Amino acid sequence: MPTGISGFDALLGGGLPRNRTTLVVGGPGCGKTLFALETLVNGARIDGEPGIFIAFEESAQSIITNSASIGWDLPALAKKRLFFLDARLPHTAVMGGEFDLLGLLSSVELKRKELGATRVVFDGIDILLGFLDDPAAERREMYRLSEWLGDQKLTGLVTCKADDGNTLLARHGYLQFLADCVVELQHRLVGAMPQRLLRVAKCRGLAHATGEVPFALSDRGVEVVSYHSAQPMPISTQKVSTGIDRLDSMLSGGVYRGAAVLVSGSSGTAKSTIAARFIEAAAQRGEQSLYVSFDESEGQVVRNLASVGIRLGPHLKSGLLEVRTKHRIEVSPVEHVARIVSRIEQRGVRCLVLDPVSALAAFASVPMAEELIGHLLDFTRSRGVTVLYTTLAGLDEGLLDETSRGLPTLADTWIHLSYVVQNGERNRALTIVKSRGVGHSNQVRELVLSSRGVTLSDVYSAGGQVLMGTMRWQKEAEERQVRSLKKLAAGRKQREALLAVAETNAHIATLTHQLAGREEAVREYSQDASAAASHVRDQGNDERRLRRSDTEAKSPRRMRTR
Amino acid sequence: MRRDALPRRRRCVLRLYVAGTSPNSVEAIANLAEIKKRLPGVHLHLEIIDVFGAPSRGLTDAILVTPTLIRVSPRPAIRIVGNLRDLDLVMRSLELP
Repeated sequence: MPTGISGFDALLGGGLPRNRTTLVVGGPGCGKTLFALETLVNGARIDGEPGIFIAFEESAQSIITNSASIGWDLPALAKKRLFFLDARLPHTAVMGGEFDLLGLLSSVELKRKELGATRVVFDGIDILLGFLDDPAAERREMYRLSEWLGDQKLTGLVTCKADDGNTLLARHGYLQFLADCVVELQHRLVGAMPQRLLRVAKCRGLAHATGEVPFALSDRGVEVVSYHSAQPMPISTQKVSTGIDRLDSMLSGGVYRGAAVLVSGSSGTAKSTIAARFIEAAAQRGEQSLYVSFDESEGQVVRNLASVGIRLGPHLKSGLLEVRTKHRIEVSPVEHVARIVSRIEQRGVRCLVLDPVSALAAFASVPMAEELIGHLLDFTRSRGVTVLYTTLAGLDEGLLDETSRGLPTLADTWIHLSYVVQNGERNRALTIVKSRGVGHSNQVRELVLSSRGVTLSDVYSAGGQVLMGTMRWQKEAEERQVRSLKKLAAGRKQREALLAVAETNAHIATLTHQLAGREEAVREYSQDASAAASHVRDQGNDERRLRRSDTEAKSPRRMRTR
Repeated sequence: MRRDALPRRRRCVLRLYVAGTSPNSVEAIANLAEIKKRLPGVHLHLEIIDVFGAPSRGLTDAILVTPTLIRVSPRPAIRIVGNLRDLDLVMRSLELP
């Protein structure tokens, strides 16, 4: 049977066992009454199941009044689906011996039939049982009650006070065995901060989470911060950009959707800037995004980021982005986390920034803050919400201070920002410490912030030293100069070579010309010579013909040998 | 003539709410009968209501536990819960002699 209490039903895989007795135990001010009441109210409002509330400790009227701040509209519900029975024994009543609850049960049975009720709450039953002043009689009545609930097909919630801790008073110890399901509520101070914890101590026949989970009492009722999901988590292979190109390429394209990215660094290392760039990029892609700042107001966030070229204003206006801020004393950390979760659900948020989560530890305890973050990240992973959360790390080069040592284990990707102090300068260095399932660069980059935005630059190592800032700039300038000198020299040499080629070509042209002239001359001479020879021969032949010479045959041979 | 002015004959209206034949209810009825026997001089008017038979009475009269004895008259009303085992306490509480 669903209680409808935010985060609770999942602990029991759907809700409380139907037609059984559930015992809600806790010290004073733990929220027992509210827990039981909310189960009843949600039944009436959400599931359309009428219910009966039997108040042994407070008057029915004061219960209705006390919960007026929660938007349930109890007076209206009390007219239709809910029945409040004032079951305080008048203080003037005389105890005249042993009694039983049969009178009450017969009244409730009548009401059950009238309303068709399926849920009933016995709030503060220990008060009434206390009048019996006899443990055996108390036990008998409780067993009677439990049996009666089963017979009546009613799901019963019985609240009972515990001592300071979360254990029942010894005389009520049997209740643990009698009830089918036991929910323990605790309220204790951790440091100066009150912390509320809920635990399902037992539940017959149902697999359930057994650990303590934080919860809050707020104007929305009981909010349990636990997001255990029975379904396997969706595994995404889709990459999401961090909003900084070079960082994406260091991460082989970005981080996986649904991943949790931790950005650690000391004060002023631009954690928020990286976070804001991530969320701005998300909004630019048209994804619903949420920026939760634990130490700045919305106005401050927007103004400060505008100085590094990150403009959140338009996205705030378009409704794609929401900035939430937490003021220290306004709400409890648990409540805050519960609200973040409900905002994510309401708005279908795809990208979330928590900046910085270490601030949570300041107004909660460290383990509690880590636990809350853990629960929140469970939730975001199960919904495929990509989260970037920042934490403050100490100024020393130890990566994290004590307050955030557990945080990296929660992260899929861990980016660390540090200062490198050199030559009177403090520059920002970015390293990827880990990134699950993503090949990533192990090189240090310098993070450069300017009014044009956030960029990463390569750093130089020279003589075992990493160069950043002005030194990097100098080194870059030097290299640029050397490059340009080299370029100049090369150009000159090229030109010289071209000149040489041209000279040679010219030389070749002259020689070719000379050659042609000389060949021409050769041809001319040879023509003159042959013409002269043929003239001589022709004359000779004529002479021989005239004289009938017998040497005619010999003359060509003579000519050939000339 | 005013009734309560009758000498030594005081009138008292009692209403006892019981739950069927449960042991405490049976005992309460017996104890009340014993008290009546001990006080012959008092006019005790007794009404016994079984909440099993008339559950709406239990609801309207705000009967939480059974048995419950209410002195309806004289005013103010006095409420005694339990099986009335301690007769002296019951008589004292009802302001009977």
